[in-house]
Amino acid sequence: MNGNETEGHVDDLLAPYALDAVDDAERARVEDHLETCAHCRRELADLREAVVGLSDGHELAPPPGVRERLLEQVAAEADVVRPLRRRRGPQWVWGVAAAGLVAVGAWGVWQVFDEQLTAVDQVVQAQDAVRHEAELDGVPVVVVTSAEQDRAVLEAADLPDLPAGQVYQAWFVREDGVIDSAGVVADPASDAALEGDPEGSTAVALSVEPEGGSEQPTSEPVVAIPLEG
Amino acid sequence: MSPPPDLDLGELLRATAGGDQQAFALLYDSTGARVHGLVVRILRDHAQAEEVTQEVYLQVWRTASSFDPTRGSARSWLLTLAHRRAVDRVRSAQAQSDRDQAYESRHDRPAPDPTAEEVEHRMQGQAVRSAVQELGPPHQEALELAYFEGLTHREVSERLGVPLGTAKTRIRDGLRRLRDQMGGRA
Repeated sequence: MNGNETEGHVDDLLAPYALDAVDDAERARVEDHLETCAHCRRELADLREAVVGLSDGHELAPPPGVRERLLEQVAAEADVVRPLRRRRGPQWVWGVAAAGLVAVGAWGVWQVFDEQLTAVDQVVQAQDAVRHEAELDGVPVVVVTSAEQDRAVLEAADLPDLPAGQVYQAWFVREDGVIDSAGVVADPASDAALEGDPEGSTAVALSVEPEGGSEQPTSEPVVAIPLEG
Repeated sequence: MSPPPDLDLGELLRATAGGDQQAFALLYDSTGARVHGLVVRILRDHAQAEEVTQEVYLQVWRTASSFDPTRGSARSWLLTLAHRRAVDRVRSAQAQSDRDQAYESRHDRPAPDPTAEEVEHRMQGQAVRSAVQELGPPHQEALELAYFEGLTHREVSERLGVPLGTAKTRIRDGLRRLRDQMGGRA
């Protein structure tokens, strides 16, 4: 850093900062200062409106493929399933469900993205979010549902590790006995947005399935979380 | 499918933050040309710009909830994000060496093979851009080097061969004058 730039001169950097024309150290200094200085925040907002004017007249429509790819990616991300881990004795049986194996097979491949907070946060922070809990070998397993968001989240849980080649898969057990895949749980140690709409389900169940998941459960559930209400 | 002209970008961002994919699509339709134009102007490379524009909107989708209307307009938030992303790309070592060559040749030549559409857009933009041009060469040059070439104020002073203080002053006064002109127009 240049010796003649002292702590007191952050206001000097506001205009360069508004243009991203600062180095990392300067950026950090300005951002620290902005946290505590309402005057500089207003000045910055003002300068940034001027910066908007700099790109006036440079409008250029993006190639058409961009829109399509974005909307696909966003739709996939909204449904992303995040992972879980492990298994032990099955107590709960698919029971009634077995009669209704209509095999809807809402079965897909999930892309896992770096940032999946959005889908999970939307459910967990929804006004109408409801927590449903069950236990697997003394470990709480929690599903959060939001009717408003038409979505459910499987919270991170310390599930037993599975042998190689096996995965946890989540299922919606519908009122009419149909079982729909809610996605393979890629990493149980993280919150996961389940695929599909929980509406009309009496429970979310987890079973252990071969890697890649199954269209319909091939083993008894290791845990089922009742969705009351 | 062109969106209604009076869409409130702040509203669209809020809805996007809530996971509304349709709002996101409208936001993209309303602002895509603005963002992409800026990214192309900075990167000069259409293939890279396409990637960055896509990254920008994914970031918008993921971080829309961080938009704080008390800290500026939605348009400004979006362009700040796009600019930052494009400049990060420019500053990465490899891109920088490519660009240095491009910069040298740019003094004599226009950007390579602009599409007809691009030319059209740029012509439409002439009237608006005069706000920047009215600033006069020293300020305009400092602002454009900083904003479009992705230079820091220190690099601007080196590129222009003027003291750092002078470069900063040109940047600051240029922005303030631009703001005043835009304020006068609105």
